[in-house]
Amino acid sequence: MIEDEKIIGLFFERSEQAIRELDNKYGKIFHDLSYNIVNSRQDAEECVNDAYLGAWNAIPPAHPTPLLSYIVKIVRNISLKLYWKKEAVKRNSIYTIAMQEIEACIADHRTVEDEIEARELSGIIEEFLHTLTVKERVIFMRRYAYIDTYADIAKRVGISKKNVSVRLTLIRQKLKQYLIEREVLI
Amino acid sequence: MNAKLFSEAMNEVNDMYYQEAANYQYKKRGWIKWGTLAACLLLVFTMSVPSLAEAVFDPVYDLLYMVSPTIAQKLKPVRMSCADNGIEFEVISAYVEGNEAKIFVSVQDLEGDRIDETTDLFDSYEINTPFDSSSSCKNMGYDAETKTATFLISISQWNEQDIIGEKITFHVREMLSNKEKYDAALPDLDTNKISTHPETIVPTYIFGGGGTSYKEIEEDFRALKTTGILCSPVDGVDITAMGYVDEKLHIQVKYDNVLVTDNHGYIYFKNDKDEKIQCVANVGFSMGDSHQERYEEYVFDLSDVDLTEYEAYGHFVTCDTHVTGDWSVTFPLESVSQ
Repeated sequence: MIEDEKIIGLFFERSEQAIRELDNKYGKIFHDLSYNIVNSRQDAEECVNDAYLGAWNAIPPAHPTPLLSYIVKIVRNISLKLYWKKEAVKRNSIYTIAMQEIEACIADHRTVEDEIEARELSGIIEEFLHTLTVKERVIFMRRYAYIDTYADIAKRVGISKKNVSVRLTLIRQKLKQYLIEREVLI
Repeated sequence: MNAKLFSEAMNEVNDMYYQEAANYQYKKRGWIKWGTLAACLLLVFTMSVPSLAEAVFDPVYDLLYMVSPTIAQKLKPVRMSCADNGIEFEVISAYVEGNEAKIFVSVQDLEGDRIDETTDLFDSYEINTPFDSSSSCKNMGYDAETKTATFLISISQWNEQDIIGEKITFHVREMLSNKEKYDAALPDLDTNKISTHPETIVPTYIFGGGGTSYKEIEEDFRALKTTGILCSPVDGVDITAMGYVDEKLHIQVKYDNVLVTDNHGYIYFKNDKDEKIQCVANVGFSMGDSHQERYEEYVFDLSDVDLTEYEAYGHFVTCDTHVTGDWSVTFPLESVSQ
């Protein structure tokens, strides 16, 4: 399969082959991620296409390394915007379920004004990720960054679905404690 | 905080975490290739074990392979797990041959640090066989990063009865961790204060004991009456009395909470020529009804010994982490009994 650097090279050459190669190599990951958020194949298709357009506009001058996580974040961002835009529409996506899980862990009584900013919170989450084992970190990231199903995570890390569920519960408990200790939650 | 903010923050998380999660893929081990690899590996392991092993297998298998290539080659993958009390048990692989089963398991603490390189299964493991069996458990190693210990468990049915059935259930109830070993002199134990006429009592229960003179000592055994803590070489171990009974030196040691710590050990004497005197008998007993505190008296025959030339030493193994749970994995026998 073509190397990321060659795909970026095609972007720099302004060759539309860049999008085709990107889609060939990572398209399934992007579509699965978007679908798990928006719960609609059609919406997911649009989100991924928008992400490709975003990449086309950004590269160059951007020279993202690694390429995969760069585009994943664009896909994720666009899909989430659509998700929240269509919030009124009753959705039942994997993302909805994943966020219901996490909401029970992060709910607190702060006002919106006192709320921590996303960038600051991401730093704390990164510190928290450092406290986990590699396997725990992958499980957490696959669930709340890639919005994978339990079945997909189980397959990836080689444990049962039930164990994925148990581990995620424990990781969320750890996260809650971590956030309380750092006064992110009150 | 709400899910939306959390979600936005997740988008800001460093790329390296996204990459790690994208690239991580549990690798099924190359069991299909075992047959062809086995002969090569046997040869290679006698010459350059680490290089090929690292290239082909994960560290757990490397370790097992170095300890016993024969066993490693026979094991068949199982990869079935269960979790209880925040600890995951996984039967990685196993094989059954005749009356013998070997089971390779990993134990990972998902919640804390209750597993370490000293963890053992406290003889609480069993398989569902219809016959009595003997077993042993070897700690193969511990990976601090993943908080995972691996064990190789060997179970043999008595009377050479074959282990048969369509599946095996492997069951564990208890684990001990954070064990510490003490093997050093007991400078706080003042042998000048050995009582020549100590008070004695009849224990409520005698657990048993050992030594060349055990039978003789155990008959009409009377324990020293505890005189308080004379010396505490390590947490959970106290020397509580010493005195001569029937011309033999008794040193009494109290082991705390033995039912959940398995604290144990022995006392000996050593001179500057490194000559040792071991006890001729040790008797374990209880003075209460709960048997939580176990006393042990070590009996020495010092009739031909000048004790001033010797120093008392203690060898103790203690533990402060006892974990209970109900870990049970049932796996098909057919796949491992070829």
